Amino acid sequence: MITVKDLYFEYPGVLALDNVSFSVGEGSITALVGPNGAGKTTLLRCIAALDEPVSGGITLDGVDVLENPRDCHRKVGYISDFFGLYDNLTVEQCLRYTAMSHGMNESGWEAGVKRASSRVGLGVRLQQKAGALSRGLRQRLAIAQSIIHSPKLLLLDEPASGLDPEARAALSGLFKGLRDEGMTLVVSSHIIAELEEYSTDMLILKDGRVAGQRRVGQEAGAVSSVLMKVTLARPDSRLVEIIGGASGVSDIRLDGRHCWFRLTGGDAAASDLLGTLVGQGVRVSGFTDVKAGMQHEYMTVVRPGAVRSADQKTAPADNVHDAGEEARP
Amino acid sequence: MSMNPELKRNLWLELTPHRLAGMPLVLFAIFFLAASLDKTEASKAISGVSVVLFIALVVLWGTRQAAESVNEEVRDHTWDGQRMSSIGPWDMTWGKLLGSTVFPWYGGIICLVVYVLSSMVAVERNPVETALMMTLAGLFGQSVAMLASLQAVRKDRKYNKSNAAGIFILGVGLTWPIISFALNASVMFKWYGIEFESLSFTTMSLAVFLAWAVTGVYRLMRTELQMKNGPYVWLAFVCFISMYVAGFGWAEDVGNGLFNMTTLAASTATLAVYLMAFSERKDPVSFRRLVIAYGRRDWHRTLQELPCWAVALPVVAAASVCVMLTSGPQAMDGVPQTSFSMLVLASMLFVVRDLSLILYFNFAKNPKRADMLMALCLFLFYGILPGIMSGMDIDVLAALFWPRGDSLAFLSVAAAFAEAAVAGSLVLKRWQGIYGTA
Repeated sequence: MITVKDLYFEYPGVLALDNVSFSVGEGSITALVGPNGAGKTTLLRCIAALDEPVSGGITLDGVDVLENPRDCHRKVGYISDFFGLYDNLTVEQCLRYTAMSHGMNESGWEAGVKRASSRVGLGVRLQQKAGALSRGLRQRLAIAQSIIHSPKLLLLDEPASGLDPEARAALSGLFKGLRDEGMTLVVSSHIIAELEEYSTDMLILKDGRVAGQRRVGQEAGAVSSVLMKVTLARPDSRLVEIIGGASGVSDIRLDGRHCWFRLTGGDAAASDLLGTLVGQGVRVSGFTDVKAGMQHEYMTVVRPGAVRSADQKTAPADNVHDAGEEARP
Repeated sequence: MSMNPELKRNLWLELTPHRLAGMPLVLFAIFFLAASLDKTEASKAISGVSVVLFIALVVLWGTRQAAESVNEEVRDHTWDGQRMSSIGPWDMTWGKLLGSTVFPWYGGIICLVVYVLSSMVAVERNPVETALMMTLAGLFGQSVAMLASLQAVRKDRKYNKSNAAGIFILGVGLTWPIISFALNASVMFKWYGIEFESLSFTTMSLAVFLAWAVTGVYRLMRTELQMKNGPYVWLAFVCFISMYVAGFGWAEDVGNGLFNMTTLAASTATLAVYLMAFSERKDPVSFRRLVIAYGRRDWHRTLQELPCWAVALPVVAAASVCVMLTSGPQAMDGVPQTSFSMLVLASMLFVVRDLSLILYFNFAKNPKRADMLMALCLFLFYGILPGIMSGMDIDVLAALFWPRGDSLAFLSVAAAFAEAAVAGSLVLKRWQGIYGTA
């Protein structure tokens, strides 16, 4: 859906995007994350053909954004972090105006208003003034405005900021629904826990560069290995030795009755290892894979030092074993 | 056919039933008051009051509305939504221009109708043509205000209250003297040797300048919608306005007339260069695109990225050459033609120096007040310093800052050349400091 190649964007004295290249697949929800000032908003505005980069290329659904920005505008819905509404218009007028401004005819905008308002749960508030809506409802109206022309791509910059947990949950459901209808979404946010609920992909920006891009739940360099956690009913000194002896095991970390390690070989290897542990009389009370969270993945890329120290807190350095060395019999 | 969405939105906001009913009530109450205060010449009183009310509504209020229409969108964060809509630049232009001012015009049209009717009763001169002139003047002021506000948004994408006030003053300041000139007693004057009456000339000029102003708004709207503009329309406007102003320099004596006209044309084109140099964006990033396009030998893109002030420079140069060619012994009292040509050359070099300095200040790390600083420099270069030098009878030093056509003409050219070269090298150095290579 989106292909960005060698993109450079400058503000006077600041290189906001530095040789950014990536692509986003159709029907995905990409979480765009990064520290403040990483260039997330600038990138979204360039994709939306609102700001012009100094050089580079952006293709959106086959359209060259820089050459044909108006064609791009027809395919994109965009909500900025500081979106605005016409406070003196009613919800219906706001939606009607947006539909008309996207070239929809009368029958088109009537259906569009109905569809978009019910999609975001504003069907019963059509006659209410936009200025009288709560923050959450205003957010919904902004989303309704941005999807009324059924764009192929929806770009959202900090869509959940200022929303209560209930509204955030509703937003998450809405995004999943839009994706199921075939829309591609790129969502920039600082609230990674919330992004985790609906994102399929993650694009990490740092200092204007792409610091990482991956499917959610898949750590860099860990394509085939899974993080596993074993919990014992009571401590067993043989645990590291037994686990380390199994094939495909690495990075064993022990903390009391809990042990983490990486395992390659899929379900078969996991099943074999569990059988070995139980067979040797180890009192296993839990044996599960641990999905790498987006927060962990994000921190691994953005602040690797912080991740190491957090790991060390839960699994002291002297308890970290390498399966290939001392833990091996 | 569906209605222009931007106009429709403005109609929703501006023409509420209360306002629609209130405006004529208030206006007719004022007309009644005027008539009752001057019973002997009621129609004349109503005619006068209707002009005043028209100016208050259309020129003052309407111009403010037009100046604020895009500014408010930027302030309220709705502008990006509009930029991403499918509304074309032309629909956006007239939808905003007429939509934002629709309520002042609602009252203004009532005033115009009352003016025409009451003037006919009072047997005043040309009521219909005067009404047409006032309509064009109102539209012109509003278009200029919108043009200036769009230019300000292009330069700095944020709401600026003082900018908005300045733009309002500009719109009113342009319209007010035009209306008062046309409304005053009939004045006859010649333009390119053709005799015109003030009202008809003003009306025709307003119609042409309104077309240019709306074209300007349309082209800036295109830029806002991320569409590219070539340099040709701006070039045509600079040529047009230079020729228009030159028409006022016509004289019975052909030699004098030609010299006056070329001088006026060159001065107007130079003013256009300075106007755009101050009102356009001049950060290094915008020039970076130009340099990249030029580096790729992409001439089409290079022309699109050229700043307007640079586009107008060839007109200044051409007009200056015309000034040199048309300057005879009559050019300046007792000044030889060669010296006068030197004066023109020095003036052009001073323009290059000033443009280089504007860029130098704008390429700084913190160029927030660069244009203000440059305005101060111009005030010093062309006002204070030559004034001090002349006051102290050291004309030699005055020639360093002010183009001279007397015996100091050569010194003036040499100084202007040296200053332009130094300013140019400063810009180059600053550019290299940012991007490494020129």
